[in-house]
Amino acid sequence: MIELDSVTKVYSMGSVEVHALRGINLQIEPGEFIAIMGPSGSGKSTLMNILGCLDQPSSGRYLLDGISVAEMNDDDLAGVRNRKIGFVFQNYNLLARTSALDNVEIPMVYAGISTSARLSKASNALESVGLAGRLHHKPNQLSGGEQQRVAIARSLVNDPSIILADEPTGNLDTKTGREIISIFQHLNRDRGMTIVFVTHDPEVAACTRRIVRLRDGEVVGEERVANPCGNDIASSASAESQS
Amino acid sequence: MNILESVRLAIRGLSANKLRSALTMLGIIIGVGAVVALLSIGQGAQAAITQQIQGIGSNLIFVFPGALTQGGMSFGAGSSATLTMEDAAAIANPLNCPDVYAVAPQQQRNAQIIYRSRNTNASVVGTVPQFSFVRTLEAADGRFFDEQDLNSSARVAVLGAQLAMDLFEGEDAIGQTIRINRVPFRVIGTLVEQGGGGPTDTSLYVPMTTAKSRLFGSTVARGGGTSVQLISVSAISEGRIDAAVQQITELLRQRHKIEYDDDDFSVTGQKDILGVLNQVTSILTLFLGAIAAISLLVGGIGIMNIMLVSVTERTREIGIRKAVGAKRRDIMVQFLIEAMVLSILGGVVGIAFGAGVAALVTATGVLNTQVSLQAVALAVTFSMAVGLFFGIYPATRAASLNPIQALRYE
Ligand SMILES: Nc1ncnc2c1ncn2[C@@H]1O[C@H](COP(=O)(O)OP(=O)(O)OP(=O)(O)O)[C@@H](O)[C@H]1O
Ligand SMILES: [Mg+2]
Repeated sequence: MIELDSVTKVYSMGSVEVHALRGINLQIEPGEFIAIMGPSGSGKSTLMNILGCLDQPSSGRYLLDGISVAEMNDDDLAGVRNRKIGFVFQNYNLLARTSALDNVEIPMVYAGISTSARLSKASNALESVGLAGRLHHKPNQLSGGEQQRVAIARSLVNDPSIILADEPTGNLDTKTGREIISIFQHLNRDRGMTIVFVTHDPEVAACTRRIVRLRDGEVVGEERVANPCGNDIASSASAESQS
Repeated sequence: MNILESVRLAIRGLSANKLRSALTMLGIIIGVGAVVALLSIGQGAQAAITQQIQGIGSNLIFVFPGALTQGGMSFGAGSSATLTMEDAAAIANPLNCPDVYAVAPQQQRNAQIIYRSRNTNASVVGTVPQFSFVRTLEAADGRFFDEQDLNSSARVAVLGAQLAMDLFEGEDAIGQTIRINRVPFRVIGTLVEQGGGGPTDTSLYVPMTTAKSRLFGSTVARGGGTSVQLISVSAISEGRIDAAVQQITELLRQRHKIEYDDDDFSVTGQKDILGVLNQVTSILTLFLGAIAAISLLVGGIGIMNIMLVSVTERTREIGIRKAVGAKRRDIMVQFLIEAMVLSILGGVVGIAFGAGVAALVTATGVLNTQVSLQAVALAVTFSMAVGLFFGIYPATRAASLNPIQALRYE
């Protein structure tokens, strides 16, 4: 359960102040599947970073499962990022020269999970994103789509209740991008995870149940999708490319 | 996260970037290696010099004419003619100096030495048979001259090893006739090489009596009597050296009628000479140590550079780790252990490297180097400190950023 109450974010660069967020009010219920859209510079990444507890708002209130994030210290926030939230970056942010398996293990290392349990969980997570055959590949031996799958495997390996993805498909072609979103779809449907992601692809957004539109740091529109496309995004995408 | 886990993580981190780890370690290796090698060489040199000084005689005491120059010693033997053969004889008398075992006065002069067509200049030392004992000279070939040679003013000569080599070039010298300032002398012995560039190897020894009558003529001392340039004295044991010095000093003051402290001679034990030379070699060691310290510093700067240069990449790594749940402490421990592993590994390899260089120097035969514990401890402490500081400082900075700042860092 996420509740934002007039959250703002101001970046001050010397004398200039950039108002990246100007009072965001937003509620996200457990198990929701939400797309965030908006033009470049509208504050999507800023919002996602705050939602992911990677950054603190300048003012306003952020309640995560009823707890005010502003009152948490550095280590509490680290704990939240470790267990409650899985974050997927546009540019993957994998450790270089480190195998897929080792990358996926990292969150579990900080969760204090034993070595043997880590190994099986990490390979399971990689399997679930379709990378069973790539366990020992380093990031530079993987395609962009595969790297993003590793990042997704890393985000869900500690069984978080929320997965946040900031333009997870921004660096990928349409087909690969849709395959990635379909992984989220499955996680939402089969494991009940709350999924929030940023996208520029209206067709992908149409498969969610709610679309939040941002402009100039403000929520300018919220749409409920009346009947989200029921089928798999990936298969609808491949059908489209065949027609 | 427990320590074992941290160590595993650190080693995984280090092996993920082998080049960076190797370069950092290289700085430590060079620093530690240089200190260990240079200090070992310095200490080896000190030991060698000490040994050489001890090699010039047994329980040796030197009596020089002239007063001690201030703060040091006068090596200018013969600067004033105040010591005589009679002084030497008095010192040799056990009633005067009970702790003296043997006495060898000497008078020396440079002279032209000719063997057949070969011609060289060498220092000719006129002395007594006891000289070979007092100065522990051993004959390599033939013998040193004896009392009979002395009493009969025999024209016999004993050659230092280097001089024999120069004149005879490997031929058998014994029994050959050489000319010293045109006076013919028979070679009766050559000496064992002393090494170390001392004067013994290039000198030539003849009986004092012969030297005075045939070569130098005798010089009359200030107070009358035949003057000598240096009296070498051997004490009866190492423990009696100080007593012997005391006895000789008192005897000579009496003989020279000196009432206050204005001695016209100086008596120096081997230990005093050793002390002065040790001072010199300590300076040498200090100098080598300074060079070593500079290499440590350079090594340290190398470590610092690598650590700081890799900070961008490390900052991103820290950002990633924090984003997925690393606490500040986790990051600190990881970097601390990484730096420690590097320093310890580098230190061990550096010690091996330094000891290897020292062993190599020893193998060339120039010097017997000595790897000392202090040098090792010094080098390891310093490089560990540098490695830890420059490993942790950037990490601390990065760990205090929030994940987004760290991920954006450039
Ligand atoms: N660290 C920062 N310092 C200063 N200004 C910033 C910083 N980060 C973002 N901004 C500004 O805040 C505003 C919102 O940026 P944000 O990255 O959230 O946009 P976005 O909606 O994600 O855009 P895009 O679709 O291009 O990723 C922009 O005007 C940007 O210039
Ligand atoms: Mg963005």
